[in-house]
Amino acid sequence: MGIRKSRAEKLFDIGNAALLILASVTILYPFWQQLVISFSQPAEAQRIGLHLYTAQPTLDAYKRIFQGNTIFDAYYWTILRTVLGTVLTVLVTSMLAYPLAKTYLWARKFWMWMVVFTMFFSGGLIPMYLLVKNLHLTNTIWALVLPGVASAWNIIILRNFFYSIPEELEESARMDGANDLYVFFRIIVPLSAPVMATVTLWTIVHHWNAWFDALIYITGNEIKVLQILLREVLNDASQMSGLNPLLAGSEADMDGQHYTSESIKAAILMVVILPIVCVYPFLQKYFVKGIMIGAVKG
Amino acid sequence: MHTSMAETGANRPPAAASRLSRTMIKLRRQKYLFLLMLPGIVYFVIFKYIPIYGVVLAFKEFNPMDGILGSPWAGLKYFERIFVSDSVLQVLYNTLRISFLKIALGFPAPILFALLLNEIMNNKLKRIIQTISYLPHFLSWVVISGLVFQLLSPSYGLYGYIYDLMGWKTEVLLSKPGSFLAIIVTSDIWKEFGYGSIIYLAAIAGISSEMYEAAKIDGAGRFKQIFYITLPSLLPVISIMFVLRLGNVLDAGFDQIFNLYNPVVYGVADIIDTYVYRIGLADFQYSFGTAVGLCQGVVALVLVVSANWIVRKMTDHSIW
Repeated sequence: MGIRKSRAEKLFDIGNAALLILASVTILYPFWQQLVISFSQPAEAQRIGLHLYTAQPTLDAYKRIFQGNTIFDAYYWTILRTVLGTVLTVLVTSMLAYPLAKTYLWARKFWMWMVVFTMFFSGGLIPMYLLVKNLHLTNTIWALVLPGVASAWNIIILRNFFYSIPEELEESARMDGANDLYVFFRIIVPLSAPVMATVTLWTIVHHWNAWFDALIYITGNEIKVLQILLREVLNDASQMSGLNPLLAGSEADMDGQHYTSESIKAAILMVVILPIVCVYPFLQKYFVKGIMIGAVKG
Repeated sequence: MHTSMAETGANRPPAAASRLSRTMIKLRRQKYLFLLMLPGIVYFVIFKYIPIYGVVLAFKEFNPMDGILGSPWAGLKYFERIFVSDSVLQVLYNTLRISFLKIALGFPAPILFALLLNEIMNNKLKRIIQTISYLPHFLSWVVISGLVFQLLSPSYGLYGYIYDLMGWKTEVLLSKPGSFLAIIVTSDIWKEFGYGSIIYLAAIAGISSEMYEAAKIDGAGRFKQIFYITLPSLLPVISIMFVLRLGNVLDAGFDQIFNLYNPVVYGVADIIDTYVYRIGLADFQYSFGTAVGLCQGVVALVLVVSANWIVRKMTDHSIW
């Protein structure tokens, strides 16, 4: 507000803005490059260069990856695990967190410790793997859904929020003879929309990005989520064995058309991240909010 | 004292009975609360506590036919193996080296970013930079590894472009131990510096503007304000984050390394988590893998609980 800036400060402002804009560019450039390559002619995709733009954009790579069912199947499995996982997580987590927010709950300390302890110690990879295997969940969608249903972190966040809801809001309903189930589903849940949205978005992103569980619990080819498909394409593992129809024979087609696997890789990567980028504005808002809820101790 | 104990003893049966019936009444009154909790508790028992019990595998000679419970005991055989194994020592060293490199170079990054971003006076520009900087956090390491492979490609990546321009000879960077570590640290900073700055930006937003006003009246310029107000005000948050980060030192970033490493760089890249995965799930040495994982888990537990204890001492309240 009319405060005179010294020359050093002006210089700093310019340098600072330039530096941070450069930082933003280093974040955006790899994505932009992938986007450009995914629309590039095969020969151009493999050329040395910055790939800032392409003179002759083509949809060939996208047409190719959408041929057949591979991508659609992968989308189906990813969406299925995301929907099942998110619904279960939000339900189970909030149903467990609400009683834990009641100070009069019988053995409350015990239940709370039971939850919190899992934040610090787990059985580790191999016992978990054997459990999923012994429950005969391997090679089913449930192997990707059930093991991660509730986490101590989400429970604590929700419990802290439920704490903050004034008791009086429940009391009038209780006076009318409503039981805890009614109070929870009809009064508490609607009041908790913001924190529920935060947990929902967290869970959606978690499921969309999850790959390791699919790698170890799914051994067949039937259930292949997007992340695993992308991993295979990037590592070229399936290209060699000809298992992946997206890449098989991609060097030169029968009709002489030449599709580089580079533009195909880029196109698949774009297709995998597109939904996340689309919901990103919401994510940003609720993630930041979630961090704040988490940071404020209950 | 004796008499009072005797009295308690004499009164015990009716007291216990009434306590029991009071508990029963309380439980009956809370039956719907327990109904709500039931799925969650069942989940925790099955998917959290059965695997915790499953660590007995580390003390057994695992035979898939007999299951974990039926397999014969092996005693401490697998733990003895840990202490004489060169590879365990190597992966422990690799884990700590990668973690400390990430802390040394990566921990200050979000703090610096928050401080610099705070100095951007144009709010629109500030918001745009902020939004862009969070983006990589929301993507998996599978996706980010794709970007890294592309950028580092000697033939068509940025790396190839620059080296071609300079006329330098290119190499496969991910297959050279030194450059592999550099890539691990850099890509980790790149992915997380924006998101990591949120907590510091929030702390900066909480600094009272009166302090800055007073400093301005006293003639403090922008730099003095940064060094004498903003940075000291951030110090508590920075120390908390630092202690918590140290508590997680055994977690060197499995997702990242697993998606970027290859056998050529196992010598520097293999960390405890990737090692447990390979010996356990690829080589089927379930008991040895569980034993290594258990040792890691116990040390991590001690570290994290100590970190929380220190933070509680620093702030008078715990993280949860």
